[in-house]
Amino acid sequence: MIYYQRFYQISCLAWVASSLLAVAQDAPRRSIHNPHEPWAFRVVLDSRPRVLVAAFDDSLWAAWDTQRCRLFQVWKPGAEGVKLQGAVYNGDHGPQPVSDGVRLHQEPAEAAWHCQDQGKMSPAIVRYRGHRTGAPGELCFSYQVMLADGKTVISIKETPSFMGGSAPTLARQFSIQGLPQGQQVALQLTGDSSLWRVQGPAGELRDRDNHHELLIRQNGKVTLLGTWKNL
Amino acid sequence: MRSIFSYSLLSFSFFFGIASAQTHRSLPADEARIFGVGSLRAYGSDFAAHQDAIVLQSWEQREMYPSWSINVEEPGRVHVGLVLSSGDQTAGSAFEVHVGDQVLKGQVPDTGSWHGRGAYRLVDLGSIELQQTGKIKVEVKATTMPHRAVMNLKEILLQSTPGSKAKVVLESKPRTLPVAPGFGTKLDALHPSLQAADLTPPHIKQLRVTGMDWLPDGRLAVCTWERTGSVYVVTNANDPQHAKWHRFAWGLSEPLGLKVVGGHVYVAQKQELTRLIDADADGFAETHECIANSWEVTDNFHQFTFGPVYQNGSFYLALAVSVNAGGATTNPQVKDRGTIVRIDPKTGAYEVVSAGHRTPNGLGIGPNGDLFVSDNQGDWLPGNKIIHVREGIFNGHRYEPAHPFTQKAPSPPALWLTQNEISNSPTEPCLISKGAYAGQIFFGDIHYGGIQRGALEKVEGEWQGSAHRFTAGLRGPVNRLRVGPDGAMWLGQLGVTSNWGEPGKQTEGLQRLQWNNAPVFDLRSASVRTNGFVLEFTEPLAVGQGWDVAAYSASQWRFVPTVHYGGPKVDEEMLEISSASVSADRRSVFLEIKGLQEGRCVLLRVAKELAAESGRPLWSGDAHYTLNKIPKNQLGQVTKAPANASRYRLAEAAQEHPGAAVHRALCMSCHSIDGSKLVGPSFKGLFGSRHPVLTDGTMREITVDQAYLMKSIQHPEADIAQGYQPVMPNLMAAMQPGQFESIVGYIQSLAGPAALPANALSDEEKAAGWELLFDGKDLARWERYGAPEALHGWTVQNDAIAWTAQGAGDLATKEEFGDFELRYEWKISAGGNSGVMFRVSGQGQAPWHSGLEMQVLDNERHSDGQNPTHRAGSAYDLIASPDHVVKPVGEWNHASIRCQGSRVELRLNGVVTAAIDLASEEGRQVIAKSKFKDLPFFAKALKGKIVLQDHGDPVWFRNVKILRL
Repeated sequence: MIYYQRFYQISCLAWVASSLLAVAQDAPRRSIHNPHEPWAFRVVLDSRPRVLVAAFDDSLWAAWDTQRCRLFQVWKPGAEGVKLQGAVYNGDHGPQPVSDGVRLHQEPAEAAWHCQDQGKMSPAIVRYRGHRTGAPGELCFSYQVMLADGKTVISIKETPSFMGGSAPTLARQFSIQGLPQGQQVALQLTGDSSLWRVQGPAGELRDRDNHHELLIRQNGKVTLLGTWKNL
Repeated sequence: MRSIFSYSLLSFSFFFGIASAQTHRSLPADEARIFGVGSLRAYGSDFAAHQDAIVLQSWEQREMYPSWSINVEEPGRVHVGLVLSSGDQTAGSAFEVHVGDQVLKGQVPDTGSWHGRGAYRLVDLGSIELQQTGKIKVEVKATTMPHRAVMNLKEILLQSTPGSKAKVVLESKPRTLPVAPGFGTKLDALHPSLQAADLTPPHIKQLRVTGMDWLPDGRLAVCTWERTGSVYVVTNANDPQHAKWHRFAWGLSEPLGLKVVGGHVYVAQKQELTRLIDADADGFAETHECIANSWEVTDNFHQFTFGPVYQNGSFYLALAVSVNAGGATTNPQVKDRGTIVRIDPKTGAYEVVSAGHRTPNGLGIGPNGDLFVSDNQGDWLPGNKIIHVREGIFNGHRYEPAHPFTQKAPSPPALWLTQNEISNSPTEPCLISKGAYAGQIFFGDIHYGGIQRGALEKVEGEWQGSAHRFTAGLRGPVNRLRVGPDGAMWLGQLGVTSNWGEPGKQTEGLQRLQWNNAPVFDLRSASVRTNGFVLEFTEPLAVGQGWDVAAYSASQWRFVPTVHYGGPKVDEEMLEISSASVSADRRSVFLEIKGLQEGRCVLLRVAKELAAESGRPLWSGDAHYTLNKIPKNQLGQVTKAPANASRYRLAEAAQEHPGAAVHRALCMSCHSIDGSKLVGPSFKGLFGSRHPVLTDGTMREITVDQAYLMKSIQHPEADIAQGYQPVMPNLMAAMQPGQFESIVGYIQSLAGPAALPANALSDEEKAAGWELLFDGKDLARWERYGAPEALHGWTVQNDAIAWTAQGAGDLATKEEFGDFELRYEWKISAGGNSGVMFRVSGQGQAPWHSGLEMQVLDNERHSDGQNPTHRAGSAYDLIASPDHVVKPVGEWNHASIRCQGSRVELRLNGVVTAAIDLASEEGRQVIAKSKFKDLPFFAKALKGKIVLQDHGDPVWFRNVKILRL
């Protein structure tokens, strides 16, 4: 508890203002075809609590695990995209919403963000700080990642967007602030190495301990591009 | 005063050889007061005749004993006899009958059976001399109990011996006053001091309000529990004509509370405390800032987060536990579920304030700025609660792994709210600071409905007090209650289906209750004293009123939390009110009551007829007091009644079926008694009805008889009634002895009128639009197929359409039907074959050239019974029917045919035997493989006649009725 509080006492007052500027400024997008309203919504999904679903397009929806500040799932939506079931939706006691469509990608309920700790990469403590939506398709998450010293907190904003084309792509732009020189953080990824590509100076892809991960060595921006060719 | 049972009188007279004219007195079972802890109770012994056979039963604790009070008006000698029974191998208990200070001894004989005609036997104990007048006790105490029970005791008989002038009168035990709205049952109208306005906007769907607060500029912020997870901001909310609602945020997950702090809107989502920020001031909160999500969660549907309350720089949230569908607590739980947590908004960290909560739907600030929370009945919660939240307390709800606070002794609630007597699903408490009820907390209820109030007082440093009904007559169940800037009460309403809603009410809405300054005569509060209670009224009593103890009743009981859902009242007993003393200003009455015990719930009731000086009727008369502590040395003042004191004449309460109380305690949330559908089927008309049920994966139709009722209570998972979720919990452990039998008998008593005569429609069927195709008298709606003027060979026999002659031909309706549901009964002769064809268009030579047929067959004897698509119930030659569905030859089968568009569904005896969409690829393939594949008109028409097939065998049809869809 003490460790936790110390982490949170490192305030993040600037987050709200900065998040206003961070919504999908750079990522290319295509027009939104999915009429789901609201297009971004919080929900329990596929047995995972604290999820945010983004109905980007009628060909691609994605969900984030806000508790772990990581991507949870990507799927091609069926007729409903998410089958909304449960007491609040249809009165049933027990069932909770499930995704509807063809699942393309899913990440585990494990820590995704890692930081250096005595020369090794270890799971970092993260804090979800919220999200901001703009026009349909415009979304920005705000995370905080604590480094192993228990004091330093870096701010990460993830701005996902949907990119059209023959092979639709989910672009995840990360904006990093507060990372001390010489420190690094990593985001573990799921999926084979052909799924993700990286653009931007702040990060690179690497394999470590049988994991594929985005390694961030400096402040700035880096974009992960995930393409599902069979979409 | 009671007359003795005729059975007993005959036995008694016979036993003593008395012809007549002697004084006799029965001390019946239901007049006994019962002492000790255990299962001994007076209840009906016979399902069919429970009202005539109230017996002291389940005497399984030797220390328990029944007691009667008698008044000896004339001394003399009396015989004493007991009418009792004993079951197999349970005889032999020795007992004593204490009559005043005299003792008679006896032993329980073997009567052969506990119940039934002839089981009860009179045991003569001899005679005693009643030497002086006055009140004495008659008590039966067991001295040995060699087997599992002492006896069943029906009554004690006191009979004056020949020549004796003994005269004895039974003193009736204290009884609860008669029930009326506000007096033992729900109110049925809006409180007279209120004016209600419906502010629900017609253009917003599902305004199920879960949070309300006001922005600094006076606008109302409202969050809602529905698919879009929306928050609205309302301008001119109190003026429906000019109110402007606009969506401030959406996409939230099940928001269940809203608080404005520093001009910002904070929302408790299901699993997060969130601040909504409209940074660009466009009226829409584009930013959802996570303030806290540091507690553990799972995907369970019941992991709600209630609140927030903001106090001294911190937010308070209430975290519900996970439960399984049906209500049982999920095990294991994740950390710190069922707690009140304090959130530091700067760090997002939480700390547990109190634990042991289950469904704490509603935090609120009460008197002295103290934090209160409600909780709902469930496992470990034998009743509903209003709890004063204090640091470190444990409130009784348990799970695995145990919360650390579980090691502490459970803290009693400030208010116990007995299930379905005054509450079912209490919601957020709200302090009322002005008016006749100033200082009290008000709270709504999702299922019981209305608003109730709590009058709290501190006794030995802790809150406790009385709960009262306040108002009914609202649009829907009140989930959130706030006092607005205008001083009015604002009600956020919410309901879902079933027991998460109030039967007959809306499931959404916003109402405003304005005080209209109209006075009311009401029981305002009850306040405990060392020797009783002070009842406070909102207006003075009329002169001379309130002094008669007969105008009050008092009872007490306790609750014992267990792992089972809910719980019965334990040690319930009526209390003797020794005196009633009216205060000088006639605004309060002190009731001197004997036998009050700490740790009890006390129900005080004032007679509806108690008169006020104003002449206004008493609005509500119950005080459910939670007697955690009895204050020391705070004696109530007993005053001698004045000469002009009025006497209250106790009205005779209608005899209530003993199962009615069981229904209220355990069943009412899910089963109505008025025919309305809740979670489960209504008890009204249930007994004797027929229902399709799913048993081990197979649909079958059952008749609800006594055996089925008993099985469905004992093993609710065994048969799942069609159309209902399999969520009924096993309540056997929650029942007191005798309650099982009582509820079964009660359901039987609610059976509808005798079964409808053949070929008749029930009121419900008439209302739904059903028509009889055969009225049991003639074939007016039928004709011979293809030869309308040549009807013969089909006649009416014993209320049925009967095939009676070779060459009769097929019998067709005169009318054609398109989309419909047809129900009918049929029986076939041995080895017989027939069928019901439908949508017969007339194209083709025979009816089966165009219409489908639902087969009628003696599967066992007819060769077609070997072919699954030719069996009874099949869609003939198209879709096979299960073999076991049909009843033996000679018995009536219940069948139905439902056609809607190209969809066809056939049922035989409650089992779906065929269901197909004829326009689908599957439908086309089925036909293509059948003998009908080359018939050009087969199954093409969406409208046609219904035709009973002449296959040359005797066949009967009755109760042929149709509903046009």
